Amino acid sequence: MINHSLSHLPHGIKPPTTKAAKKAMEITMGLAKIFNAKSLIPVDSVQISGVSYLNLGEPGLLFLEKMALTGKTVVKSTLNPAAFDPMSPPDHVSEEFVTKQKRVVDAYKTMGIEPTLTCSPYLVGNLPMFNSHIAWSESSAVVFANSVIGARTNREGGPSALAAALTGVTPEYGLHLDHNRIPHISISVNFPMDSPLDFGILGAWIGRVIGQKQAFIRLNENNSPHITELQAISASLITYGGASMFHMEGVTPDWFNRTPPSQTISFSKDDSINTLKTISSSPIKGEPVHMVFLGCPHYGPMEIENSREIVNSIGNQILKRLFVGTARTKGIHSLPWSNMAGGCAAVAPIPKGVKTIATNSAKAAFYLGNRGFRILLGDAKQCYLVAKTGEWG
Amino acid sequence: MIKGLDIYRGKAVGETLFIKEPLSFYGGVDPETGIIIQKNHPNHGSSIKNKIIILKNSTGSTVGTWTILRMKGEGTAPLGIITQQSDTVLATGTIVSEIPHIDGIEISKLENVKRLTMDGDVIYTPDELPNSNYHQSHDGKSSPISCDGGIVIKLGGSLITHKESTYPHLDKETLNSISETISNSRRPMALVHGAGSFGHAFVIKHNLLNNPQTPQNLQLWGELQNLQYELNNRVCESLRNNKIPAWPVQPSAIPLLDTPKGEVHLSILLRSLVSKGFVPVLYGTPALSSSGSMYILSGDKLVIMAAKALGYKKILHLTNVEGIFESFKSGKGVGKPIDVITPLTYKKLNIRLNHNSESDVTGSMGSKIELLLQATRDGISSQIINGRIQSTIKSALNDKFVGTIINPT
Repeated sequence: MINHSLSHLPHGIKPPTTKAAKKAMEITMGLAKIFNAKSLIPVDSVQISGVSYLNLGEPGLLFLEKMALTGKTVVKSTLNPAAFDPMSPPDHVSEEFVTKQKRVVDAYKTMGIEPTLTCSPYLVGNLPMFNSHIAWSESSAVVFANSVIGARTNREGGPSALAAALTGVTPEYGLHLDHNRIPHISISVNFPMDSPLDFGILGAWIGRVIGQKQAFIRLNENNSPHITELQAISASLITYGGASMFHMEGVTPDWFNRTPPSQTISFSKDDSINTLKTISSSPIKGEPVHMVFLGCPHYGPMEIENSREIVNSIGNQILKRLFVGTARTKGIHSLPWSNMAGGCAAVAPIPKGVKTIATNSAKAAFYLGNRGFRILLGDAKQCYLVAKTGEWG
Repeated sequence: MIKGLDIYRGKAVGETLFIKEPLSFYGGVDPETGIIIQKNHPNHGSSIKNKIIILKNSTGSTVGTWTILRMKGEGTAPLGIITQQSDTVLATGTIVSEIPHIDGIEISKLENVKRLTMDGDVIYTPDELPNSNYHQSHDGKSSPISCDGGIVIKLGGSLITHKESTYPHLDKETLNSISETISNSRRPMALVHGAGSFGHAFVIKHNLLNNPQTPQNLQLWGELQNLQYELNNRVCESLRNNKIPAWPVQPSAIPLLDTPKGEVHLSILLRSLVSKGFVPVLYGTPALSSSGSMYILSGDKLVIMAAKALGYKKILHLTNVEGIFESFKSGKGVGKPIDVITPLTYKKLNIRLNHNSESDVTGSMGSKIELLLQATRDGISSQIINGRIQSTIKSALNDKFVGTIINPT
């Protein structure tokens, strides 16, 4: 059973000097052992999850603050969303929670991690090169980076990504190795899809049907997804038990280097409808909806402008029920919805009285559903209208 | 003994919990109680608090890492974790929380093990006793279970008691300082202590060794036995105060200890104690030989017997001197102690061996060295150091050069 992996720091890797870097290297070497990695490789960028105080708790915060005493990043590193941006906290959160959340972000900042507070780091400047090695946590970004960008990362946890940020290296195993990036099963989509909701459902279905196997997806003719749709499938694929990467014919950068697997499963409109029914509660026309959550994964500047236009076009008012997940980005002001830049509804305290939440994200449906909310899944247009009326239309 | 991958090195001794299906720490375990709450899990309702848990791997959200850290803070975490193929969430959780974790173990082998010991990258189970293959090993050179890193420590009687005292007088402070230092070591170990003022003065006063075994003398032998028992009691108490799981072993209660048969019994006893996680504490004591006469089974002899019985390759002598010196002046070593003595170099050394104090009935430092030189034939190295200095003990426990080392070559 014993595999003969690394037991000592490989040649050429500088031994860590600070306490934090030593702990970081302990984590890196521990992972090298369990995954039987032969070497450690340098990474170009890091994305770190584990920011919401709701998930970290007091021991997590103290651990980060201890690391921040001596830890400094050696590569570009960005940060996942917090429960909310501690610089502009929502009204329904206690002062203590805000302080703790701020301390978490400050600890990361002290270590040199950019407080981007987004799960879409590739939209705010952390955009790795094709085939470059990176160490990202945040599952949706891991799939997006591996598949849509073609960079190479395993699905890191918060601490292992932090370890990579402080050491600059990661164990060479899994998706860093080319032979682990081949597709296993072809998925043929036989109807045109036209929304992030559709792509989110496709990801969920693939995750459930083929599990950890990597898909080679063939879309219906002339169907070319835009970035929000690719974000949606990246997020739902891994949320529903799927692999950390996929290939998509004509879309993802590495597809033409790969042979489409002969084993093919087709995905029909019926599959899509049936999958939706298992992710969403069955909505009743006119039922009250207390909160609408879009931007999972976080919308980029383009999608923010789209949303602003749509909201303005349906009434030119601020939709208080609507929350849109975005990075903590400077320069975007006077949004026509409740501000949650830098935050994420899935890991945030939800205002009292909220029972039913509408979203267009299959991933958000999963996590909010797990927290006991009634989830209604609809496309963005439907969600905007619900946000305006407060009722399922 | 099973060797695995040390994900987080440490020592853990305790009851096991075999977890039959992968467990999600986030949502699957209540961090406030340590109870498994995962729906439909076969171990639903069991507590992992203070257990050594054995599982294939964990599943679920990466938040699991922080759940493990939180459990450590709440005092509900497992003592140790053994996995077959660990995942990132669990491994980072144990490293961040500093919970001993060994991976790469075929866990089905451990399904029925109730207790075990984790130490670094090694797991000891109680059913690994050498019953069946002991004789083979005893005749041959190698030990059936090589316990790399295991150590037998001798606490000199002159160190833990006020030896020149004419009545039994414990040196409580020194004893406690030693216990404290030893407790920080993660090596598997057994201890042996001498008698000091609990024995030697009594033997000399009554001239026990030279007098015939008259009924009155038998009383004295019994009394002497009781004094050792009392000292052992105090030593174990001090060890336990420092969280060392001390287990008193009265060597004179083992029949025929001066024969190979007795050595087998000693081996079975010590190995089972160690594999259970105990630290056996033996002591020099009067004993009945196989021929029926009384003799003094000295701590110096016992320490070697214990090392052989356990297959340990290292003996550490804690004494009240810095090591072995080439020459002495008024009871104190001149210059620096000798670094290393081997059977070869010993012959060339002109060590004056008469620096034993009057009240040592078990021979001088010279006889101690000769016993240890004999032990080198079994591949056992010894180190003689000053047991009053905590940093010196610490260095010796980390196999650093301090005091005098007696090596095979």
